[in-house]
Amino acid sequence: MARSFLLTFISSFSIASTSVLGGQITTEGVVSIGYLAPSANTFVNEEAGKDAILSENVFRITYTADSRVALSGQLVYREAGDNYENELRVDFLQLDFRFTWLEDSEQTFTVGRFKSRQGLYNESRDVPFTRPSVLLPQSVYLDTTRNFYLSTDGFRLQSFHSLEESDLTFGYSVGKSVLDDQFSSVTLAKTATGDWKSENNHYMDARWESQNWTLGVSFADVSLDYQPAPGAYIPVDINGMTIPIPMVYGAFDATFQTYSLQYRQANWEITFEKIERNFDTEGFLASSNRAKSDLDGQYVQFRYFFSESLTGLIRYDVMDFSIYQNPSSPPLNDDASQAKDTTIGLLWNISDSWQFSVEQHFIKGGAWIPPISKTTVGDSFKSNWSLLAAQISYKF
Amino acid sequence: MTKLKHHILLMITAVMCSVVVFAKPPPDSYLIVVNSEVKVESVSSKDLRSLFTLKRQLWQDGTPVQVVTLQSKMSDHSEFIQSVLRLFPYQVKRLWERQVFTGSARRPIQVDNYEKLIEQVGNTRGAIGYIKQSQLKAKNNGKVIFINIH
Repeated sequence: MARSFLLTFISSFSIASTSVLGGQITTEGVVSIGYLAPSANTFVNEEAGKDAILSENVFRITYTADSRVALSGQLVYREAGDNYENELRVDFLQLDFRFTWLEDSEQTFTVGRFKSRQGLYNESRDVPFTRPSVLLPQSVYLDTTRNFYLSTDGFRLQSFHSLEESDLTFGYSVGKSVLDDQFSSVTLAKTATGDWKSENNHYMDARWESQNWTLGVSFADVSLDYQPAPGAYIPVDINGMTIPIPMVYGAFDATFQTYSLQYRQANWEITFEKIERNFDTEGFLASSNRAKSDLDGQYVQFRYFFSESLTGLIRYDVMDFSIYQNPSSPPLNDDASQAKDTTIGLLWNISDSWQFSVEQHFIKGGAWIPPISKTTVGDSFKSNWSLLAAQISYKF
Repeated sequence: MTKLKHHILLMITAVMCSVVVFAKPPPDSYLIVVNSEVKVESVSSKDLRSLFTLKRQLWQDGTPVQVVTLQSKMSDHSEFIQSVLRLFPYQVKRLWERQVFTGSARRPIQVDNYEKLIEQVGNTRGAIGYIKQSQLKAKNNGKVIFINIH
């Protein structure tokens, strides 16, 4: 219903620019439809191996005053199986003030809801035209927890500096993570219902870019509190029996460090990104429970531009989840804690407005599968599985 | 041990594929077209790179910049990006998409020929475009100025 409304609404627009109150309003958007077909497991849907329609729709409107001020907003509707919240979302709604404090530079102060900068792709990950593939490398851009890191409510200061043959951008932001209703089910368990609250989190990022190189680094320091709903529990396997453990108040502090390296030539590019996520959790299963865990990943991706419109992709992606310093936790088995993905794909830019993307993933392990904090995998789990993804997108 | 081995293999692969030499043609065959209300006397390749990649949004006097270019598929557009901005066309296209869909910039206006480009720059406050010197015969509507790249 929401999707029909959105599609009807946005189809009445095209890339447009109108003068209002001495400033300029511009609008544009993207509609897309795709298909996700896993051979097994519950990465996409609760039912193992069930395929899903992928629909990503974006509508942006920007008002640029005839001065240093701009107001921008973007709505996103995304549907990708029942593990993800299928709702219309305010992706960003931000007020930008621009200044030039130093020569060859520009500073931007942003207040409102803005995109979270992490790695090369996170800030625009819902826009197919900005991605190298239908699914981003999951080790760094894990879809299971995607909504947690999409947008931040707060303020941001960014400084751009133009250098002789390159440029440098760095930013600092403070704000609360925008959490959705399914955050419990993708991180803890579907039965661990409750309310999450974000503290004021801190983010830093820097990116240096030249013709051939992009180097980036981003840091995040994130704290969240969890208050269980009455009756919330986690099913835990003990000696072959499933025991419901009631949830108690919990909190976690996490730090994320992402390193990005990209080298490009006229006909090809290679990308390497690495992420280190360190979690320090307290509570959840028992008030005295404390645990530390790491969720790390890295990938290397090669893209070859056969022509201006056709791009080939090959990627190898590795993700590792480990829990330590908690003797009460059962040991993780490799299937639950790792995922190795080899992807081959093609992207066809049919025109400036149309794009078609198709790819095949060959995966070993179940670390992508929600919930992230699982210690075992279910009976229906298959260690070696694959996923076919295809998507056609239109920009208006 | 397995984890360490993966780290090393991925790093080696990335570094080994990163050794290439590139050439930079001199940026001497294009002029910059600017709306006549913009107070600017000269521009460098460095300035142009930050403006045409939408990373800088303001002129010195605070007027918002509006980039105007030929269509992406036109050869002069690709040539301008490679020879003047010293970037790859796909790289610029990707930057535009990212800047626009994160609310950071206005999309460039793209037109079919130089006459339309001059007309668009002349009619848009803060606008900047480019023209090949050999195409200067395109009509000047009096609302634009031409600037050499230094």
